[in-house]
Amino acid sequence: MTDAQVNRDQAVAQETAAAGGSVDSTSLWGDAWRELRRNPFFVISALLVVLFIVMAIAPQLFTGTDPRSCDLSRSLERPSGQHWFGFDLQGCDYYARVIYGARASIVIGLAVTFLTAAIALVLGLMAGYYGRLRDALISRFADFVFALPFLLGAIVFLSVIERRAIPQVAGVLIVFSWPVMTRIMRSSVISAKNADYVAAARVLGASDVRIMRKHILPNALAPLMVYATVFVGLVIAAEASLTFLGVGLQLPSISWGLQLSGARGRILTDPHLLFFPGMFVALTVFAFVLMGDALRDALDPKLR
Amino acid sequence: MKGYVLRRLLQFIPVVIGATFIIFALVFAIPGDPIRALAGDRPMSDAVRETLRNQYNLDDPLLIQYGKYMLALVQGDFGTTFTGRPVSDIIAQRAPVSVRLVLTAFVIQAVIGGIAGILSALRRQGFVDSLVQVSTTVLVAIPTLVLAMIGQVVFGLHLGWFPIAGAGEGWYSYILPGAMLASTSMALIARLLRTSLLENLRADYVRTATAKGLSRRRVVVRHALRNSLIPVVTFLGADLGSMLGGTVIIEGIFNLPGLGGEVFRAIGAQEGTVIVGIVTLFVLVFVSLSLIVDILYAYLDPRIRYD
Amino acid sequence: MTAPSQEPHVVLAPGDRLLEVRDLTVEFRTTHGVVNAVNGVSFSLDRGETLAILGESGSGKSVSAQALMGLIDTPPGFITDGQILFHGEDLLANRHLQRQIRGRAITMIFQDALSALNPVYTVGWQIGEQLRVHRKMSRKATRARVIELMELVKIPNAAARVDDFPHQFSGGMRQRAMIAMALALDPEILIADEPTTALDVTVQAQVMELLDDLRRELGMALILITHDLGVVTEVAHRVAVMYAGRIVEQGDVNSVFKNPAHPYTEGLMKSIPRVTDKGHRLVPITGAPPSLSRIPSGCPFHPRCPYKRPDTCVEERPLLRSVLPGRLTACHFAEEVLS
Repeated sequence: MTDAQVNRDQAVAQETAAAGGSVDSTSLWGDAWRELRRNPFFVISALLVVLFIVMAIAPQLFTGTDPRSCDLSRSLERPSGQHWFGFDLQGCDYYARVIYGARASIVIGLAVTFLTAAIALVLGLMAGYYGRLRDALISRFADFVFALPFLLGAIVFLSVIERRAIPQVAGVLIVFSWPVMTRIMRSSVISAKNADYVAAARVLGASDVRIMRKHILPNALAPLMVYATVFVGLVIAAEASLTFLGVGLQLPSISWGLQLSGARGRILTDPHLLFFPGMFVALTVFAFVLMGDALRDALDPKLR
Repeated sequence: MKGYVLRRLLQFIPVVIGATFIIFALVFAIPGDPIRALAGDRPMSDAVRETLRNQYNLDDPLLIQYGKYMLALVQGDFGTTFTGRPVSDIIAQRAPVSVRLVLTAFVIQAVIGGIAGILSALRRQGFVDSLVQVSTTVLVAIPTLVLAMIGQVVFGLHLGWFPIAGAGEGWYSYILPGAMLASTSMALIARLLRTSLLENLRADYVRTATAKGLSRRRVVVRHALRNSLIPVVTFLGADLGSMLGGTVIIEGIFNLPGLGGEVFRAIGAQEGTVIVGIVTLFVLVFVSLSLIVDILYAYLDPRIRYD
Repeated sequence: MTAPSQEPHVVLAPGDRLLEVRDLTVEFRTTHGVVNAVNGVSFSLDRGETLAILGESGSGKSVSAQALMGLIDTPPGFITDGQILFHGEDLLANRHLQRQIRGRAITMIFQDALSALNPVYTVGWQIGEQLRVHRKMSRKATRARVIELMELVKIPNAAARVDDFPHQFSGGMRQRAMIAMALALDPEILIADEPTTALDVTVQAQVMELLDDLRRELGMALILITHDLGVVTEVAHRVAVMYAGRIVEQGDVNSVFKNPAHPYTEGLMKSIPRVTDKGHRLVPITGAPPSLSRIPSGCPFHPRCPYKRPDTCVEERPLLRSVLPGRLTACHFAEEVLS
């Protein structure tokens, strides 16, 4: 590759690019993994992600205090040596509340991402591989939904739902977010479909299912994976925003969005109410976005 | 070009119909009583209930309901509040604040994001580049909600540089909320411009321009940068939607009396009809602006025009 | 060329060398080590002459041309030694002069005209850009001159096509537009870097013919960078054969091809099909060209050379020397190859 770059010799550069474009998918993931392990940003983000997932599964590991046993007499007490994050308006230990708040965010982030990715995988594969009518139907419908900005659509829909817990909020987020991922999947399926090795497989008589499974999916998966990783962060931010606005999760749920919502109007007097949940939301989103970035750098052969 | 614009216009109409129908269907076709959903826990007399049922034609079949609703929309009727005030009134009164906020944010993200992207591409791996790389990573990853609240505390409260809330000080009141609204897009623009400018600076036609004996400035600006604007404009088109959604959060936090602030207030007051009316307007604005961006895109990239 | 030139052209004394390159050395410092792309290349060019620089990918021929134009990006590229004398003035010592000459007295066209033309501007805009910028010509005068240039390079219906974009042109027409762009300021030297490689065979011949005609009509000199022996025999007067960043043989085209004095040139001749040799087997050169970051010791061609002697060729680097009148060869055993 060095010589080709140096020479700027077109023929060589094109050959190399063509060779790079059709790399065997197993080596792509293998190379990516080797690349990732050496990337400090990936290591940091992966550690943070694991930390927050553990926090969501087993908050007891981090705090022995029950987040729901509150003492009104301690309302809004400032952070102290014993109670690191202080107390909220109801006099609940804020550290315990913030730790327990991870669960709603992580569950919604992961659930929405997995389900959206599954939808995008199926629809994107259908639209991209078969094209024509299926593509037209899926793409047009995606256009309609895409015309509704994610947050605004979710606000309208959620505002008419009376009781909103994790499944409702997750459901609405999926309804408004599948078009982007479907488009990504569709376009990478189309570019994989047009590659020479797929034409070769077809000439050799491989079935549609085999071509999709063996040739298209492994190559089209990388962009989807990258986006999905970043998307977990986006969903967590969206959930916190919706809850903050009053159309997301409702009390008595424990969530960072609700804590931020409670902090609004009190930031002048009690900044700790804003700082701790804000920092946790930001760190979680940061971890997923950073991980997605690292993944993209590792999976994009052009950048190597 | 004419053919392209015409095609875009023809695609625009079904998108408007489709998107508004989705809002409509989500609000009025859900199981249960839509009036109750819109009004929340508000106690409501049968008379008011009846008026609302009439207004949204809830006794008609869904498609007829939608037809009548669209007909009203075309005439500028965005529904009424529970007290009988037309939502279009509220819109007329609140819109200027949101327009100012969005314009401020747009200028901030275009100017700062643009300059940061160009500088970091031209001085690759220099100090400015590292600074831009780190700060954009952080800005992209911090949700607008958190950043805005922190910004309010730091710049409004502790440093006292900007008003903490409200639109009392004219354009000056819009700088902090505008910057917070712009933060994510600004970072994304800087990164996108950097990548695409770096790519274009290596392009063959830039080498040609240099070989033509043009000045470095002309090669960078007229050739490389001109081509790098294409992906940025595409991004701006898609980003307008999150910008409009962001006004709800930002105007809510900074207490700005704009459309987003009104949605924020209406959520708290459980005034469903106001939410639906304003969001519908936002969607129409978004789709129209996307159309303009598409046309601008074709102007920037002739390869699109002649397809 | 009808328009009077307002360029401060250097007056050419009779018999003056137009261009003389001495000991040009270019290296690229990459993270994987130093790549020695050009290692002491010397050649000269007279007015009205066509010099072909022949070589495979990675032989350093394109880098040499880019160095002439001042197109080497530093870093990673560094011109570590040599002189480029244009009318006796060293362009490497005088960067200001090089910028003055680039695109005016010396111009260049590239292999892939589609990517070498800016996709967002019309062909006419790009041809006229230098006229507007360098000569401050008016919009109207530029347009007229652009159409004239497009007619000069035989683009049919030039007046109508001047507002087309590159993607609306065919491959051959795009290369003609590139040529028109290169001619805009009446150059003395036109460097053509693989100008026909990306084109269909029939179009290749037309473009080469056009370049040859233009050279004659406009009295300019042509440097033709190519790997195509056919192109060289058709239009070039002299040829310099490059291998591993060095010129290994240089001389009159007919004489070099008829009677090569370097084993590499000889190998090239044997590896191309000829109508007259029908029925004979082609003889490929064994092995592959060396990596420019690990050039073999002694004669760089020795690993592939059928004339190799273990000691001399592996240890001593052969210098270019005169073996016949007007012929330079870098081979210890050139006489043996000749006979």
